[in-house]
Order: sequence, then structure tokens, then C-alpha cells
Amino acid sequence: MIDTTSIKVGWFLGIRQLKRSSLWSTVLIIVIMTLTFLNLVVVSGLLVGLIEGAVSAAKDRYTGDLIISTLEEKDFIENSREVVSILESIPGVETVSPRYIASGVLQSNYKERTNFNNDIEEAAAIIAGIDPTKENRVTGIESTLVDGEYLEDGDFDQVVIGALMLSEYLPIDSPGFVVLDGVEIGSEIRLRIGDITREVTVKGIVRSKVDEIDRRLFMVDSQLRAMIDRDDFNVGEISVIINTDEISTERVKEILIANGIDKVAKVQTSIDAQPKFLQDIKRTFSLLGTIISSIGLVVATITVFIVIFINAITRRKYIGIMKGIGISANAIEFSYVVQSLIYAVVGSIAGVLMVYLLLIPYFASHPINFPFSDGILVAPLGITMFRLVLLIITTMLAGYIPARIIVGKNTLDSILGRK
Amino acid sequence: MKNKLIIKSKNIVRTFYSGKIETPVLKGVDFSAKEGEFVSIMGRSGAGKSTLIFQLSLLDVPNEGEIIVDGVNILKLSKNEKTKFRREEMGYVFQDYALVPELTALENVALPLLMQGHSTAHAYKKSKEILIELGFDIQINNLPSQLSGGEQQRVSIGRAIVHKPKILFADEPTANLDATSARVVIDLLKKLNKEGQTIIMVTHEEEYGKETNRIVEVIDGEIPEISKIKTKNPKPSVGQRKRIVKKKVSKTKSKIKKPVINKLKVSVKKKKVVKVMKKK
Repeated sequence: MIDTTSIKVGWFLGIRQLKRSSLWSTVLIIVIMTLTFLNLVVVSGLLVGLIEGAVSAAKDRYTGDLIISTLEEKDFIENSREVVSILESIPGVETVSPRYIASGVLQSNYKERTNFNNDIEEAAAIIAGIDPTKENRVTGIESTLVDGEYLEDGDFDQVVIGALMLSEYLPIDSPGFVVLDGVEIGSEIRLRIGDITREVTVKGIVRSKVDEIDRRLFMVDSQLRAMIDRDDFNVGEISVIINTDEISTERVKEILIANGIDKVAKVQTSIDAQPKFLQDIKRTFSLLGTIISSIGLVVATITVFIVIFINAITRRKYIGIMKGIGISANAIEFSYVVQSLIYAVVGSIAGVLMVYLLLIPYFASHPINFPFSDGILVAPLGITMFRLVLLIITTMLAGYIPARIIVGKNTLDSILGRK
Repeated sequence: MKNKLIIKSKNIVRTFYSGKIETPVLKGVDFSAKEGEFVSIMGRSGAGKSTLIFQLSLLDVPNEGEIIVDGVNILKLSKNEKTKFRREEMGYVFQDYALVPELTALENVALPLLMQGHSTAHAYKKSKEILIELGFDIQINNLPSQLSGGEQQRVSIGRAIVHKPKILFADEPTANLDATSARVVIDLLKKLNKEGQTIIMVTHEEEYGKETNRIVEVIDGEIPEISKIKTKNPKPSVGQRKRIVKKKVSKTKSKIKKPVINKLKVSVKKKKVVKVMKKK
């Protein structure tokens, strides 16, 4: 066990060695430590961030904090108006957007075709009838428009279409993945729901990177209600935004269940509504990130090992002299641990500052544009601190081992430079 | 100088091994020094004088023999006890100063005190006093690279005596110095000796050896009785020296008769000894 005097002398020696060594080599090692830390945190953080981006997009653009949807065997939520009024009566519930939902078929080239033997282009879609103002308040759908304009309350035959329904935005040719060709703002398309067909005009195109939204066609709720003849006002989905400072989402869910809403609908928080595969991918990416980071950690450990080993071996004579004059081996070894510790701590602090003050805000405002999500950098403080401690411990070991090897050599051999 | 023996070694044998080759360097050396004595160990290159001082100062461990320092059989101490003993009871001055390059003169001198558990303030205060005594002024905050050879050796002496060791060992302290600096170092050692410091110094310079209380001459790994010369006495006569060499030759011959692993090495040594005889 190392005694306090050895710690004191080790610190004394280590600090002076650092202070009086080459500034550039010290800076270089610290930069290596910073990069290692970033590698540890950022690589897995970005991989997880891709999925986290998809998850948060689903919440922001589709589910809200809470989503109430139909039971498996039902097409609508019974007593929807009552459900909405219960929701609106709960303090902390900020906004509610009920949506009528129906399955339909879209046809696009029926006007342009010159040969009537040619098939009309058709694509199945989910049709959502929305209150444009409420929906925009819940999902900010207007901000996801990539072309055209958003719906207004009085719109009659105008629709907003999801980008994944259009070949221009989804240029893939797959028999199981039918999209409409040549549809743009102002195009007239046919919408068929059951036996009713209606011609509508494309007013806007949305691309939210949430499949549930981007494969939908949106129209004003009263128009869809008329088409599907839903005069009972029972909707298919209700997304809810909650002021979580005032009341937790779980609490709202409990209140709804206590009011028997779970008997007529599925009540899910945004987390409950996440598809399981997203969680699986998140875990896989996290593992992948950890593996990549571990390689970085090993490289950094070897780097510090080599640096300290070279440092110690070139100072072997002085190590021998110090042992000769009675400086304990523990103190000399600790002096190298101190150096490694300072490299790791300074490097990691620089890394932490870069992550939290630079990279996270940067990726938040400039997300990485992936087809399925806007990639952000996810670095929860707890995990980051764990990695920081891991890096520091590994680096200290990488400093201690070579020092121990050199200090363990015969004192006289070290002084005389004998092998 | 008192009559009390501060260090006494008996039958020290040190042989170095390299594979099957064995090189005997010390062949049963007896050595002693009294408290307050200034002894110089002299001898030709390779005679074993540095090896002897390394054994006496616990920097190396002999294959056989015992060393008693102030009543303690130091070879029986554990590794940690030896480190502590070196730290508290011994001081070292090395041939090439051996100052820690990242520490200033003051820090180098303070190091043994810090390791003894003294506070930094106390260690610096004592070290500063010592360095001022040794003629330093503003250079105390200089790094070794900013000091001359003589200054570095004085710092080295400061480091060796700051904790008031029982014995100060100096291994060729003037070897790397010019005449002026060497003079300063020798005068300094003499002054310390006058103040009561026991000093055992290895040197190959007879001029400085003569200035000590006693010269002990190591000849081919041994200290013949006749070589323990008091410097106030005249040098051994030519006849005495011849007898020493004859004794050595007869010893070597008797070894040749025995089955020795490294025959070639012994025969070379024999030739060397004959040459020495002819010269004499």
C-alpha cells in the first residue's frame, strides 16, 4: 500500500516533470486524450442519436406526449368527443388533436394517359382528416412542408400529401412499394375511400421523416368525415401535448385509464408507442458504438503506455539515482501515475466541454440528414461521466505499468546504464 | 575523528555472472572506517573500488560477507528497510552529479527531506541553508542544465548531506570536473569532514587521496593489509609493493591449477600481472 509521503513526493516529482517537459509533447498527448474521449462519447452518441432522432421525430411529429388510438378490432374510438373533453379538462394538457383515419387509394395519371389500356397509377394510403390549426399546434406539421402550402380550415378539395407517397421523394422501384409518379403541387389526384371517389388537388407536400406521417394524405376533418359518413364524430387517433412541468405523461395516462378510456381505446405514452424494432436498433447501435469506442480506448491506452514507457526508459538512470538516494519505488511510480492522470483529466475535461458546449448544440441545430431521421448527438451525462472515469482509470494504468517495469529494474544497473 | 567504527565489512565477495562466464570482482574484502574518518578508496581501473563502494552503500548486494553500519547488519535488512536505511543514514555523491533534470537545485536538495516526511516549507528552508553554505545564491532556482559541472557537483553534495547522514559516499566526485572545480569539491568534502562527517570516497587521483585521513588501495578485488595507508605516513616502499604483487601472482597461479571455467580470462590476467612485475 502506498503511504502518504510517497504520494506527496510522487505528486511533487510528477508535477515538476510535467511542468518542465516539452510543452508540445504535453499538448500532443492531451489532444490524443481529448480525441479518445470524443471517440468514446461521440461515435456511439451519434449512432444512438440516429435512432433517438427518429424516436423524437415520431414524438414531435406524430404521437405527441400521449396518443390515443383505436383498439385492434375497432375502426374508431368510441365516444371520442367525451374522451377529448376529459382530456381537455385535465390540468396540464395543453393541446389535443383528434384525427379521423381511413384507408383509401390514390390515383394519379388518370387524366394524362393516352392509352386506356394502360393501368392507372394507384397507391394505397392512410387518409387523415385533421383540424389544421389543432394538428399544427400538436405536431407542427406546417414546418415539415417541403413544397406548397398547408391546409386551412375552409379548404374543400385540397390535400397535403406525404413525401413517401411520391416517386420524386422516394425514387425506388419496388412492386411492393407503390408510389405516385409525376404528382406535384397543383396536381389533381383521385381519392377513393370505399365506394366514394373524389378528386382533390395537392396543396402541399410534407416530409417529416416519420413514416406514419409521410405515408399519409391529410385533408380537413369535415371533408373526410363527409366522405366516410362519420356523423358520430368518432375519430381514429388523438395526439396530446402535455405540459410535463405541470403533470407527468404517466399521470395523464393513469387519469384516462381511471376514467375507463382504456376500454374504448389504446392509451400510450410516446415511449409506449415506439416501435420495438427502434429499441432493438438503438441497443445494437449502442453496442456497435461501444465496440468502436473500445478500440479507441485501447489505442489511447497503448499510446499513453508507449509515451510513459519511453519517458521512463530514457530517465532510467535518474530513476536509479532516486532509488539510490532512498526515494521509494512507490513515489517514483506514483509520479508517472500523476502525469497520466493529468493527461487524462485535462484531455477529458476538454472533451466534455467540446461535447456539451459545442457538439451537442451544433448537432441539435444542424442535425445529420439521414433518410429515416435527423441524427443528433446523444450523450447522457451519466454515461458520459462513466466513460470519463473509464478513460482516466485506463490511462492511469497505462502510466503505472511501464513505470513499474522500469522502477522494478535493479537500482545499480539503472544508475550505470547496464542492461 | 572518534574511535568508534561506523562501518565494518567482512569478507565481501562480489562476482558477476553472464551466462556461464563468472567475473569475480571483489574477492573477500575486509573494510572498516571510524566515525568522522575521511577514507579514500583508490586503485586501478577495474580493480573493484566502485564495486566496493556500491556494496558498502547498499546500492548492490554482495554474494558473501557482512556489512555492519553503526551496529546494524545492513545486508539482513528487507528491501524496504534498505531503502529507508539509505534514505536516512547514507548520502551519495555520484561521479556525474546525477541530479534530477526536472528539479531545480533547491528541489534536488530538498528531495531526500521530503521523502523523510518533512514539510515542503521545512525541506526548502533546510535546503536553502545548505546551498548557501555551499556558496549558492540566486542559482538555487536554476535547473541542473543551467549550472556548471562544479555547481552541479556542489548541489549533489548538498543533496547528499542535507539529511545529515552517518556516512557520505562519494564515487569519483572530481572525475568529471576541471582542476579548479575539483579543488572546490575536495575542499568542501574536507570541510564537511572537519565538521564530523564520515566520508568514504572513491578516487583514482592520488593528489586528492592524499588529502584524506587514509587511503585504502584495492588491488584486483582485494585490499591487501599493506594497502591501508595512513596518508600522513610515507607511501609503501618499492619492496613492499613488490611483495604485494608477488603475493597476487602466487594467488593467481594457484587458481590456474584449479579447474576454472574461464581459462582464457585467467591466462590473460596472468600475462598482465607479469607485465606489471616487469615494469616495477
